[in-house]
Amino acid sequence: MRNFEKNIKNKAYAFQLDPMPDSFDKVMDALEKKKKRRFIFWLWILIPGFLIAGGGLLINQMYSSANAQVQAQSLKASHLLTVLFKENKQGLVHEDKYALTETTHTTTPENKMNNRPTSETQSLASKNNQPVFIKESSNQSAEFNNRNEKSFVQIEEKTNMTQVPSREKWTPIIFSNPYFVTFPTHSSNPVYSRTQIPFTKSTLPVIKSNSHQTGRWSIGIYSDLGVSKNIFINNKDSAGFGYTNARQLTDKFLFSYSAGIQFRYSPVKWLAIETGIGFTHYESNQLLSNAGFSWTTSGNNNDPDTALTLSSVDPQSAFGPYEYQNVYDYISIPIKVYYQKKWNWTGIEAGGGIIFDLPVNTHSYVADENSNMSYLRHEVKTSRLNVFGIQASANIHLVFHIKKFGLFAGPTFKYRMNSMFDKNYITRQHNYFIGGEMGLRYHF
Amino acid sequence: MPIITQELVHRCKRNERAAMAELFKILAPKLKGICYRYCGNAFDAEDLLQETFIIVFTKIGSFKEQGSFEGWTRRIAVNTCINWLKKNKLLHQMYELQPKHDAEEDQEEDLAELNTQELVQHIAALPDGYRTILNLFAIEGYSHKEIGEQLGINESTSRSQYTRAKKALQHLFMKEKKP
Repeated sequence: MRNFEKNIKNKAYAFQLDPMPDSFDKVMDALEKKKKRRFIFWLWILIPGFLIAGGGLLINQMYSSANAQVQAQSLKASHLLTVLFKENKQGLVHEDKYALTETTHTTTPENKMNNRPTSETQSLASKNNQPVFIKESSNQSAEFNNRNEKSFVQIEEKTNMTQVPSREKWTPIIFSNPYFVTFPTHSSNPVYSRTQIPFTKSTLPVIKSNSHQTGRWSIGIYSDLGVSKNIFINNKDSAGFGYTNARQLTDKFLFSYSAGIQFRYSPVKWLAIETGIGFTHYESNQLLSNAGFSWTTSGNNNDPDTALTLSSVDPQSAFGPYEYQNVYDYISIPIKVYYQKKWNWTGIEAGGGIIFDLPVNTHSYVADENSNMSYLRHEVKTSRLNVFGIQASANIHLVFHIKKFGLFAGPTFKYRMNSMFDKNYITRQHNYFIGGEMGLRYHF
Repeated sequence: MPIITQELVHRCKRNERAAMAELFKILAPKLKGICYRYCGNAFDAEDLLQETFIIVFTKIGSFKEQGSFEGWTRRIAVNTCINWLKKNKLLHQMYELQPKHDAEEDQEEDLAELNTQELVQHIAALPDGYRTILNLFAIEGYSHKEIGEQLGINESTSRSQYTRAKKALQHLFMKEKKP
């Protein structure tokens, strides 16, 4: 190594600088915050994961008995049914419809007693309380029994699962393989029943459902988790030395959340209108300094209302910079409109709207800026804040339907359209939020 | 001079605050010195020191204990500083600034007369690009190839910038010596 490098290396290695007295505490604080953020991140990942996995498991365990009941109710309700079989793996509807359907055919079970129709297609329904039997498929067999002085039609299905549409409305239904549907043939008030044999591992379910069958109204809970940041606007701060510019440079994304209850009404199947009430918490960081140069202050003023107040915030850090957390808590009332699309047991919703915010708990430093000077105010007076805020919101939800429940999760974006300060401030402060929303709703 | 023992590192891995404070006390002055050499001012050096320790305490579990712990923390400090310079686009000066005195001859003997404080002050006064390359090559012992990879520049650029940085440093010294 040449002398030059050797020389400066030895000296540079010996060079030391003492850290600030509170340096270690700041490191520990930052580590704590980092841990908290990591915890929230994993919480946000894991909670929907567990909910989705749990929901899937629940569906897997509940569908057979639950849908058997739905099937029985459907039969009683309409007597006009078409049963379509689906291949489990491919999810394709059989073209040779094995049907329980309305028909003009008037053949009765009595006429067919002791027969075992197997070669024709068939349909079966009840009309005017009289069983109607037509065979339209070779995919199953039917037999008639005469037990205890009553006649029964018993059909054994050979397919894995079935979906039953009742006119335009689809009823969630899963049939096992095999199972028996028993229809009393001599009854003025027929009650249909079905005996089900448990699923085998090879017969996984498919559910087709429609929210309109579980009601147009719903109530639910929601939670938004994410980060928020502020945008500052001040036309007079073009020099870039004032409060607005300093806040733009130093403000960070901070954790924010909101939670509440929601009410939904769906006038048509593809549209939903939503409102509710909730609590919203935003934060913003603000660097305060009394030093010669400053991030958020550029001058001194003895006016008690506008004087620099760093020492009153933290007497130990009189020379700053001191990071102050502004807090904005609101009661929020959203009004949103969603387009919704539904498949078997999943769905998607996209929409947005506005959220009205009423401040309930606020701690914030604000600044006036006049003649290129910025002054911090000690506390925000009620009159300094807007009495309400308006946010624009956009959401996309992936929805999982479990019986009458809908589990939803997806990204959300919110932007505060009016300033968080009142019109007496030159500086405009708008907040925006990026995060995710999840929740659970119950359909009536 | 307190020593960083294996036991101390283990205690830090177990998140014992007292051990972390002890480690901070031992290493902070040295690491802040490094940060100062890279950023050139005490205010940013303090920030970079804190950022370095956040990384050290976060990643301490991955320290394999096969090499020097202090060396490991030094590398973290250097990388933190370089990232900071890149993030703030301060290395752009590397391509724009020219030394005012290209023709000056090496004054290595004169530089030897400087004490530690004076030398570091002179290094801090260099433009960011020169200061970075001088630190990496002359003090940390990186090769020009490694510097090129680290900063995303050619090896030859690193070499020429280093020569200029050296001359700029000598010029600063001469300027002080002959006001």
